[in-house]
This record gives sequence, C-alpha cells and structure tokens, in this order.
Amino acid sequence: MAELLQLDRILYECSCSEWAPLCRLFYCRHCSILRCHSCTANEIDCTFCGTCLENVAVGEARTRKNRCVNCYQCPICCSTLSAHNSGEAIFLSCSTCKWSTFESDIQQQATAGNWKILENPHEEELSCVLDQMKQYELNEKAQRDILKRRSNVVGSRLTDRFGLQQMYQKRKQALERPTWLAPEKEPITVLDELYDSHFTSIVDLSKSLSLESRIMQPLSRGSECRPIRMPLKGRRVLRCTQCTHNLSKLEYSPSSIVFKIQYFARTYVPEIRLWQETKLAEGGICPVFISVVNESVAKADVVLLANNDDSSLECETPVVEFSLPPHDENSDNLSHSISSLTPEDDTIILRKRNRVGLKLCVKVDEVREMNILSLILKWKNELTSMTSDKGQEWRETRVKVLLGKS
Amino acid sequence: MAQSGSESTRTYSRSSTGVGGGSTRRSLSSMSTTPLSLQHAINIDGNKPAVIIEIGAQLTKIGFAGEFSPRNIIRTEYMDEALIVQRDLFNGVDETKKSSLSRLFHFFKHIYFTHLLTVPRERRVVIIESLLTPSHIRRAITVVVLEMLEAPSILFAPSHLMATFPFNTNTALVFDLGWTEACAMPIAEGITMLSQWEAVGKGGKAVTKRLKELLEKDGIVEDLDGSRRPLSQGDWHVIDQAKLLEDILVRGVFVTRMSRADAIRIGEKPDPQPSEMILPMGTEMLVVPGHVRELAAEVLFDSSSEDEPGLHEMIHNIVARCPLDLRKKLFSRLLVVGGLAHMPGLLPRLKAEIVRLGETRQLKTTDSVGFYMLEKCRMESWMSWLGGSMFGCLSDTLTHRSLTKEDWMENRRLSDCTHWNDPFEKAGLVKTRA
Repeated sequence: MAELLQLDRILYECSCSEWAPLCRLFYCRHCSILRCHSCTANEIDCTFCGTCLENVAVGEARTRKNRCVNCYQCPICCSTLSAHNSGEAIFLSCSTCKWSTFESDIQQQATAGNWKILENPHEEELSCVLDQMKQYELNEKAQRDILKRRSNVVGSRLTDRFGLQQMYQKRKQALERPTWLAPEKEPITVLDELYDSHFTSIVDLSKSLSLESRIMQPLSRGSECRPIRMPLKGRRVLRCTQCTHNLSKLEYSPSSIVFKIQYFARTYVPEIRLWQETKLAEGGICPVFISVVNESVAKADVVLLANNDDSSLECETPVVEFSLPPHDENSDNLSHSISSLTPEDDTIILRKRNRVGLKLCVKVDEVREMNILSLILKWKNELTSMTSDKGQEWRETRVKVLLGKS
Repeated sequence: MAQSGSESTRTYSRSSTGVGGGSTRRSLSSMSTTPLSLQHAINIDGNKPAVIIEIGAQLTKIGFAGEFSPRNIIRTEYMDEALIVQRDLFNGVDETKKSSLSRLFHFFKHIYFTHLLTVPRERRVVIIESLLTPSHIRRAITVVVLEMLEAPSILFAPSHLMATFPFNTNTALVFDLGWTEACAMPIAEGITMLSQWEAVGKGGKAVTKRLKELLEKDGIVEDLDGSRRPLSQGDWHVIDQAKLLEDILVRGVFVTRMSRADAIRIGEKPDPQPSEMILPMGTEMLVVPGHVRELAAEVLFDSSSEDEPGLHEMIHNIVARCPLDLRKKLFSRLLVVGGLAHMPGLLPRLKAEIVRLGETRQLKTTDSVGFYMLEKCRMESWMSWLGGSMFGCLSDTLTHRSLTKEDWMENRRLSDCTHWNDPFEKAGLVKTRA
C-alpha cells in the first residue's frame, strides 16, 4: 500500500517543463502558474543556529564565518556537545561518542562559549604574499591605464593648482615595479624517511582522524581535534522569478514554524493519487483506479483528459468531468461516511466529501519497465488568481501517472 | 579528457595584461584623488568577496576570497528532497538540455544555501579547475552559474597555477594527486607549460582498488570472542556501506621506504613487519594485515607498462622534455598537492625514487630534489583552493578576466585557457595586445 503513496508515482508538469510531485510544487497566484524549486528565486531571510535557535543578524553571521559561538559540534561524530562543570572550569563532551575536550589541547576553560578554533599557522606569511600580489596587480593596472592615454601625458607640465601633480606622482609611482617583495618560499630538500616506529605501532583510531573529521577541520594536522563551532542555518524565502512575489516565507522568529506566506500547489491544484495498484495485462483493457482530491477552500471544477500522444498506454476513457466541493477543515476527518457509494457512471465510482474515486480504462499494447499514463488536468478554481474575474478561467497542466509493472 | 593539452602549445600566462574582455573605457577610479592604497581597499563591484569553489572528484572545497582556509570541505554529492544521495554530478551533462543539468544545479544550490549562506546574485564566482577539464563540463558549469543561479560573473582558474601562489614562487613542477588521476604540469616564470603536461590514472581510486584486491586475498574478520576467519564475499556489502576502504586509506595506508619496497618486490619480508589495523565492521572487527597497509600505495610507483608509468617516471619524463636550463630548477621545486599528498612517507619515497632514476640515467639534475611545503600545517589537499582564494582577492584582475553574465548571454562564448584571446579577438571584441 505504501508503494501507492511514493512521491514519484504521480508527477505534475511545472511551468518550466520540469516534472515534480505536487507536494514539491508552488502555485503563484499572481501569474497563475505552477512553480518548482528550479524556477523560483531563492533568498535567505534569516540566519540562525539550529541548536540554540538564536537569530544571528547577517552582518554578525558574516564576521563569525557563519558559525554559532555558543554551540559546538563533536569533531568525531558531529553531534552537539554539551557543557559540563568540573568544579572551577567547564569542559565539553559528546554524549554519543564520549569524546570530550580532555582529548584536545584545550582541556577546560572558564566559560562555556568562545572555545578557540584552529587557526592557520601560516597566516602571516600568506598575507605577506597576498600583499605583494596586490601590489603587482596595481602595477599592471597602472601599465594598462597608461597605454590607454599615452597621447595626453601632460601631468609633468601642469602646475599643482588642482592637485594634479600629486595625482601624477602617484600614478608614476604605481608604474614602477614594486620594490618591496615578500620572501619566496624555499623548497625543502631534507625529508625525514619514514621511521619503523611509524608503522609498527598500533593504529590508534582515536588518534588518527577519519576523512569526515579531517574535512570538518581543514586546519587539523591529522590528529588534533577541537570543538567545532556549529554551522549556522539559513532560512530560505522563495520568490516567483516572473512577478517576484513571495511564494513561501516563514515568520520572523527561527523557532516559529508558522508560515507568513505560503502558496503550495497542493492547496490550489486538485491532487491525483493512485488508489489501487494496477494490474497490467498485455493486450487487454485494464482498470486504473485513481482518486482526485480538492484541498483548496474553494470549489473546484475538474476535467481530466486522456493524453495519448506521447504515452505508451492508451487511455480509453477520453474525458471525465466533475466538480469537487471545498476542503472543510472543521469536518470530522475520522468519519468514514461516504456521500455516494453508488457509482454515478462507469467512471466516477465513488464520492466522499472533497474526493472522488475514478476508474479509468487503459488499453495496454505492451507492458514495459516503466508504464506511464499521461493525462491532462484542467481545473477551475476561483482562488487560482488574485483577481476574481480571472479566477473563472480554466488552468491546465500535464500529469504523469506511473503505473505498476504487471 | 586530454582535449586541451596537446593540441595547443600556447601558454596561459599568469600576467593579467592583454587578457579578457575588459572595457576600454577609462575607469572613473583612475581620475579620483583617493590614495592608491585606499582605492584598492574599496572594491568597485559591490565589495563582497568572490565565492571560490573547487569541485573535486571526491571532495569539493568552498569558501570566500581572501580567507586562508575553506569555509567547508564537502563531499561532491548532495541529498535531494527524497533523501537520496546524488553523486555523478557531471554524468551526461549537456548545456542545451536543462534537465541534464538539474543535479549540478541542485549541488550548487546546496553549496550556496546550506554552506555559504549567501545569494548567488551578490558575488562573483571563481571556479578552480584542472586545465584538462572537458569543455562540455566547463560550459555546463557556466550555464548553471550564470544562467540558472544568475551569478554576475564566472572565472575559471587553472588549479596547477593556483597551487603555486601560496609559495610566492613562479617556477614549480606541480603534481596533483587527486582521486581519479595524477596530473603533473610544469610552471616556469609564471607560465603554465601546457604542452608538457602528463597524467596517469594513479590516484586515490587506484590505491583503493589495490587495497581491495589485497584485502580480498588476505583480509581477516575477527569475531567478538577473538576467533578469526578469512574475509568472505558477503562482508563486502558492509565494507562498502561503511566506507571502510576509505577509512583504511586515510588512516592506515602508508608509503614504505624504498629499501623495503625493493625487498618486497623480490619476495622477501623485511623486518620489522608493520602492525595490523583493526577497525569495527558491523558487529565484528575487520583486521587489515600489516603488509596490506604497506603494499596498497605501491601502485603509485609501479612501472609495469609505458601507459602507466610510476609517479617518479612521470616527473622524469616531463623534465626531460623541458629546456635544459629549467631541468635542475624543476627537480628542486616540486609541489605535490591533492588528497594523496597527505599519505605518510610519500614525499621521501618520491624523492628517493627520483634520485635513483636520475642516477641510473646518469643525470646531474637530480642532485637537489626539493619540495615546496608549508611545514606547520599540511594543506596540500586544498592548496589550489588557497591559491584561488588569494587570486580571487585581486578585484581588478577579477573584473578584467571574468566572463560576465551579459557577455555570456550575448555571445555564449567561453574562452578556453589554451586560446584565451582568439575567440574574442576574432570577434573584434577586444583590442589586440599592445
């Protein structure tokens, strides 16, 4: 049964011609089209720590390198470290793998936060080189500039009435090759051979880090560990690329899971679900049972059309038309009352509040690995547009139903 | 793979003059009276550091320009919405088919929104890539970054050249020991000598393969009560799932001394024997015998066939093709980068092998074999990224050399490192070099 609810069994076509399950699509009411993750613009509206849920302002997050200073991650297993008090000092330990700061070079400290992280020991040297690279760049830029205006080098003849002389001097200065140079790194010619003790000693897994731990702390020398600052998380806002209206936005507080704006496709587009696994037999006509649900708070008129052009299966039921009442949140979901059990006709065989059960007849020529039933879904719902008059227009999308093998 | 290397002997110059599609208009900043040093500090284009990304076969390094360590090193994979891990990002990519780019697109989104927490539109992008990257992959990355993510510009920086920047050197023989292959490229006076590259499929993957073969033969499983049995076929499922081979490669495998390797090659068992490595495998323990740890990396120095030379032979081959006065210099300025460079014992062994081969060939150039190294902290696995980060700081160079979104949308032309000028010059877009 769970097979029937697999997300990739029913795919809807997005406006950008990608296929996605309905629950991953959005519906822009301003443009009246479906949107998927690929055709929406992403933004980050707030950065926060996933552990302490503290909201970190963008500027602050940038200076902290997108890390939380209060929460720490275990360098071995990535779990959250908890702080413990050992008399006068505080140490951190992992409750999952039992790693603790006693195994690192900073064993305890006075405060719970602000544990030192590994720093690049070559930083000074590297910034020296970087300064020199910048000087070279300036020099190149000056040379490029002088080529462009060789014809009007008049600086030397001007009096310094407008401060031009000063400018000219500076430019001239920039043209000269930088005199100060950072020292070039010397290659190392004397290398220690691998000692016997290196490979005869027991490989201590707690001393040498796994790849996972190494890549978490790029500056570690293979054995040293320090508590890792918890990486911050960014909360995404989705916008329609065409009209730039928000499609999904949460409330300001990181701890809140209430949406401020939500345009999920499921609440605007009727949802098709498989109802029973289809048994496909070659050469015969097989029934396909699907249900259509209206999750919107307005009435929806639905037309399902067979789309036999690009499908391996032929749908013998050309058109089904019906309308669905709005979804009622207050109704008792547990009640099993079925509005009409008696089949209205061959196709609509069941109605239950905002849901209909359909039986489509499919002619199977050949059973393949992937048997896809293509349908065109047309629906009319007054909520599909911001303006009420346009809400009376029919919307249309293609749907792929992945039937079972045989 | 080798599309760009041999067909052109043109060089890719480190100097930024005469390169790129920069405008010929006089820039406003050159007219201002701000002191030059300060002018430089103010970045003209939005003053946000560029995003530096190096996509490796196994690990992707990401961060911002001007920082001396990557913000994150992640595996080159992402988990999609159905919680399935997607790998092989470049499998079947085709810039004309949007659907083939979806994995790459989601991977970049993952980088931006999960790790960097920044919006692509705000920052320039620098991609550190090997010069041997196929064109269709570069074009696919360009489409994803400029069109789908709408980043303002993209710049492809050659990884070998970038790796030399942190050492402030302009001559080095850069040897990249990655996952799929080992690729060496000489750089002389800041010029990448493209015609002299050499690559061989000896990287982490080859060592892992050898490790697997050795384990299949001699691997042992230890039960909780201490009883031992040979490794059987059924255990490989657990080993693969727990990525134990990778763990052994990172923690246990070492490159042995040359004298020991010679003895092993003629069938001896030199003393002392390396200790075995024991690591948990499901409910049991996997015992990796000492000789497996020792022999796995020997694949790097095997020289069984001409197509698959050992690393030391590759270096000799390259140097032999270089001009006479460069040879000694290159031997004394080797720079080994990439994940495998961390392997204990690799550099001394490489040196010993190079020297011995030099002696048999009666060369005097191998007298002083030397390696560039930052001794206090081994950063080899992300050295190219580090160089790229420093390069990405040069805002003016970045402006001049990047391919902007507008340019790409208009011409859909992506310059290759080998003929950087040609397509633009032919189109009359850029003035020829003065």
